[in-house]
Amino acid sequence: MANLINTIPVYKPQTQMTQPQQSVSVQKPLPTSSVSNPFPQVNTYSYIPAKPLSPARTTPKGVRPHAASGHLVKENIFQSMGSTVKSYADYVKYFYKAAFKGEGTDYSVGKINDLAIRTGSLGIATVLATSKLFPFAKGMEFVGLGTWFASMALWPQVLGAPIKAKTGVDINQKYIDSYGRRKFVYEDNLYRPMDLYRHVDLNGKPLSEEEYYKKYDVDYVYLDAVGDKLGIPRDIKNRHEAIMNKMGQVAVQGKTLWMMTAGVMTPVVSSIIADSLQEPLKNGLEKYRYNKQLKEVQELDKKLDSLLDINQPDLGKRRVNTNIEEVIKALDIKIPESSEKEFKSLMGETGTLSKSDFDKLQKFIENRFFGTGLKEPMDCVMHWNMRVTEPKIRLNDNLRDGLMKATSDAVKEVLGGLKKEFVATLPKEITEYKGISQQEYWDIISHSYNDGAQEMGQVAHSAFQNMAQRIPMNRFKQLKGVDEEVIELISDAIDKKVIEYMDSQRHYILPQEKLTQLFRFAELNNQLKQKLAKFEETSIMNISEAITANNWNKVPDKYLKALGFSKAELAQLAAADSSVSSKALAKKLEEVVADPERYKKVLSTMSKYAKEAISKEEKAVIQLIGTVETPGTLSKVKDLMTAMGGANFGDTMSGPLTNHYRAEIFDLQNKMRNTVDSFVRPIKALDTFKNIDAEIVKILGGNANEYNAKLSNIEYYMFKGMDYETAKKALKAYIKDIALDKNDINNWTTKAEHVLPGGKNGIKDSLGMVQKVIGFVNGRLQPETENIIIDSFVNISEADAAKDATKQAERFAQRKAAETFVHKCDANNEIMRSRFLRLINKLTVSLPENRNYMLDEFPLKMFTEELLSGNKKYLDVLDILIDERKSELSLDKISDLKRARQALRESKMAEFGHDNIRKIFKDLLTFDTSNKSISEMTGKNVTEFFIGAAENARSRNKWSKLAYGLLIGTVALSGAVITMMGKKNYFNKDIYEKKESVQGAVK
Amino acid sequence: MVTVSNMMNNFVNKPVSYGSTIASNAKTYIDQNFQSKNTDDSKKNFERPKEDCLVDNTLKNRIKINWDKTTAIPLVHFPRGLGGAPDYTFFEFLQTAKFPYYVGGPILAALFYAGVKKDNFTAANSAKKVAKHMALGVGLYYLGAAVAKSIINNTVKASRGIDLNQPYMKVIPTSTNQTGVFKKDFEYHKVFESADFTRWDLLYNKEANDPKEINKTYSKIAKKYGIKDDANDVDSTVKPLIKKTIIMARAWQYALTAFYVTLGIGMANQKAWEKGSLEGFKKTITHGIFGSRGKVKDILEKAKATANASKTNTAVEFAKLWGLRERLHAAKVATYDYMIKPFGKSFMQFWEGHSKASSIAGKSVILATGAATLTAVMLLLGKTTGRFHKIQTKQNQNNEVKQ
Repeated sequence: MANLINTIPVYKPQTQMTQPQQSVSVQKPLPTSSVSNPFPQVNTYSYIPAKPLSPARTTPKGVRPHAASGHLVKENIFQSMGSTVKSYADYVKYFYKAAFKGEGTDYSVGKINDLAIRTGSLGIATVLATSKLFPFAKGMEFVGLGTWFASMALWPQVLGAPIKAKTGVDINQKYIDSYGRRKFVYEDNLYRPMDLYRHVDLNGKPLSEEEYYKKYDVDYVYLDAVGDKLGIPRDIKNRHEAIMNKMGQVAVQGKTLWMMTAGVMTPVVSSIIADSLQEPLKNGLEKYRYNKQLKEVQELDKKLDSLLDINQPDLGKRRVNTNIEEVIKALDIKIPESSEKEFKSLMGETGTLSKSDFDKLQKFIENRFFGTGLKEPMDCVMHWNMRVTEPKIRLNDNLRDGLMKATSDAVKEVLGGLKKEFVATLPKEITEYKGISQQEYWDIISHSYNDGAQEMGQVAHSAFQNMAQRIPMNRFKQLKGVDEEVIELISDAIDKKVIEYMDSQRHYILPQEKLTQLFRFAELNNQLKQKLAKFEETSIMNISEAITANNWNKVPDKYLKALGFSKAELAQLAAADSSVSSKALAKKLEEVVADPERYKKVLSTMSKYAKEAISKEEKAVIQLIGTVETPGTLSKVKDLMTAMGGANFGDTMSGPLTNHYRAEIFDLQNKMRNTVDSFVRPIKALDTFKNIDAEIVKILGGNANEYNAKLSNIEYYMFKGMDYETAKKALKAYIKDIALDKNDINNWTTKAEHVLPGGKNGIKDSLGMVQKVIGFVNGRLQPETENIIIDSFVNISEADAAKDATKQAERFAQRKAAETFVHKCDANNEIMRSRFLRLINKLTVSLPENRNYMLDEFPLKMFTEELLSGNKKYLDVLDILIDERKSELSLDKISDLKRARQALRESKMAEFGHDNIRKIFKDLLTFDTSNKSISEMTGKNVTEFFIGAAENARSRNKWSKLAYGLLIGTVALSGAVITMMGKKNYFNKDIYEKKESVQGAVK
Repeated sequence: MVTVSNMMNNFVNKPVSYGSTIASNAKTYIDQNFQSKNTDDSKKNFERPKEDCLVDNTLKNRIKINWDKTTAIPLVHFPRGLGGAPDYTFFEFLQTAKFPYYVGGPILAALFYAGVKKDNFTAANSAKKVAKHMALGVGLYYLGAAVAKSIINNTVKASRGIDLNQPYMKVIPTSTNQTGVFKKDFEYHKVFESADFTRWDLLYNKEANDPKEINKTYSKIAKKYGIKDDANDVDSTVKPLIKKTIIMARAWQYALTAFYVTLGIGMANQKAWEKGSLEGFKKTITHGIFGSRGKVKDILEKAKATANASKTNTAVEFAKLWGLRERLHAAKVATYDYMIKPFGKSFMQFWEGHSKASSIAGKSVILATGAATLTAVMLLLGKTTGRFHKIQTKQNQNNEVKQ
């Protein structure tokens, strides 16, 4: 081809500056004489170079080639996507032909590679997705694959756009050749399919010949336009080829740039797109999974209602369906066939089982129902109610014959071991012993057993065995003149043989029907719990991709952002020791509370996310547990299962089941409490920081005189020796520390025992100080903070609401929702105050008698007194607190609480009795932490909460820095390269020969 | 670009061949005295030859070719491409198209690593584990691709005597090579890389006089294809079959690659690799195989002392001192316990799966890979043979060659 090109006497880009003229001239054909003959044995060839012709201008005479039918492709993005899909179908055909028939071309085989890469990647994504446990992780495998290929396909398009805008050359331009194959116009730089541009209009749209000539009277108008854009002079020879070559230059430059940058841009763009898709994918999946499971649970709920006869308002008249089979049918429960089959085969058909078979059955039950709360009650029911676990021995002729054989065998065995001469000296009673007699058998029975039943129980048959060992020996012991040692030997042998035989006769009798019932009940319980567990997995379980997990991924980051940390502060927060971290956090909170506007903004942002996160989880919890008035699905399952257990298997079953379900409900509540506390505590910390000065004045007095007066009180013993200013400073640092630093039990104790900065004592032994400090840090939000939160949720102004009734209603609803959120915060803080105060109480138990005054107090005292004084503001908080206790209190105790609440609501405290209310609250509204670690009963502490978020933020920042840095850098570099494209350079000298003025009319 | 004129040019103008395999024992037009000895000296291949020639497919050459090709991407092809060199070829574009693969992986890994929570010890640790797993995945991915290619290559080589990887050096004619600093003298290609433009010419023994000698390579290949000696024009008889083989082999190479890389990733994703861990492997090598047993100087002194003390068996003492036996054992542990064992185990784990879905996926990938390999080999053996074709023999000249 190179020679052919050389022979074309037309435009050729010049690279040798010195002799531009010569190179343009027609190259002389090679002289034939210069051709030597490498094959002397063959006839001499003569080499005649191709005649110069101007391609696409002159029609060859003589043999006509097939008319070229190739054309440019002009498609929009959807058409292009369509043809991509279609082309993959073609690739499959190519593969079939190549792989099975060996037919194809380089083009088709190359396309098989594309197909294989896509299929292989899909295979890899599938394999990786199946190894992931959660749907989001599975999904991300395909998202990653998709974004990878998308960014691979997208980048040349992105790069092509500015190149086209600048030079008019579309480096991605495709054409369909005469064989119908799709190719890039600039795929091979040495092949310039110029003819494609002959009938293309000015917009780059290929036209049919007729259409084209209707519009234009010369060919290549499009090429001319591109040439103008590229700055190719108009008056040169063979301008179109010059343009085509220039386009080739741009295309090579563009494609090289593409290849230089694709390695960076594909992963970067893919990573960025996948990252931005994460959030919507996560949210979509969360919603889909939750709603799907919610629907199932709601359906179950309805069925439970009818079984529990919930619609009957009179509790006394409710008839709960306790028939196991009916319930299984009504709830549409499918008991796993494999499990039932195994159970049945283990139980056997005869109703009796040998010891080893019975062990197998027990093992099966243990494995199947371990950890479901049913294993122990099942054991109890089988043992006490059904008496299955007691081995039995059947009293019949077989037993008699067996014993006869066993005893006679025993004697024979002994005789066999003695010398024959010695045996001959023994009496006939021994040598001809035939085993126990009928009479002896009756004796055994009458001495051991007078029940009359055919099956001997454990007590009976051990007595029987005892007798069966002793009675035959009576006969031998009466014999005179027999060596005692022989009698001893016989006695031992009979003992052994009888035990062996009796053991072989032991069996277990199964009440098959009852046992099957028990099994099916346990399976029903399992299936119900599994249904609920699926719902929990999508919502509140501590498991990847559940709503709570997603909240935990999101909310701390939002809080962190709201507070606005600088890079250095983030580093301090994330990478430093936790005490340093909490100092950094304290500094930030101080900054925020110092600026009222900022305080407002941060508070409203935090509240917004806390409310959203809490309400999402709360919905799920309410669905499961419900409230005191309307029980949730889990509570209903508990009621049904305990009722069924009681009715079918007695208290042995219902007691443990109740406890099991109660514990489950308590766990759920606790989980919810943990979330609420974790998300609310940073808000409370802000509130604490905001009001700290006022509180200190409250505690220490407004001036030195007031302070000094208080110092005489033993309650203030820890401030002894400190002046007013020092005490203020010390207390402030102390409170901040308590609000932010770690709160697991050890640390908390240390905190309360820890001396005030600059002092000598802690506050642990002072009830008043503990109540003041802990009460302040953990108590309800200050009214000012509450108002800011409520205002932030209400976005309709009072003036607007006054004009329009619907707006007024809307505003009211917004206010109500905001207040509910605030009440939830308050309830949580109240519970926390109670827990922390209670903890201190526990600590003081070990103190000497005279200082043990704290036990008289109860944690909710302040709250109760407020309500008793007629403050109705916190009745809603009281509701939440009562609800929190429902899983642990019996119905009558709950109704005590309800009555007290009613009295407070209707201001009938006096009639009900103040002390009565105090007593009820003190006894029943306890949020004790006595048997649990406090870290289990509370949320995350504030510093740790922000450390986690800061770690996330820092890694994210690092990622963003790299990803966007690479993106921006590559784009900038590409931009710079693009500006140089199509210009004269080292490789392209742009030397043109002027056209002689005979051709056409050109200006 | 391989065209008639190009080939004619080579044949006609530059009759001296530097082809290695054939040229080594053939006559040339140049007096032997003026020619360097035409031995199998592979260095010769890398001097600038005057025309296209075969290069021996040895490991050394392959390394050299790959090195040259890779370094040429940034040093030659990029500058030429960015300048828009008029003689920039499709081959060069394909070469540059490899660059994203070299860069993309490390950048993706860097992006992953940047997103790791490094402040949190547990998170950083587990991310490290994931990263190692990813590296292993990449390793097994390439291993899978290599296995797929070599299965086909070896099948074709053994059954048809064709080395699909046979490289040759393509000389760039000076007439188009005018780009000065970034000039390009030659490109490395493969003889069978194109089914449409296979370099048949390179397989002729150009220096021979006798047609039998000229067609020697073709005769050899034809024999492998089951074509009898009496075939007329053995080269043109076998060429369509070779073409068929090339197409079929390439198609299956690509298809099998898809299967084997999936298998590789699937195996890399198993627990078997976690237990042995890279850490242990590394330690076995650094401390086990290459670990020092005290300072070398001490060892030498001790060795001297032992040599003085008893003149017998110093070699054994030396070996003891250097802990040869332990080192050998460590080498065995490194290869067997840390590589072969987890490899086999991961295969079984992939087959078994840890859930229903993964078990189905694992079994189907393994079975499909096996079935595809079998099909590929059987088709290549069965469909490319010339045994069942009617061959135009020297006696019977009327029959045409049919595929």
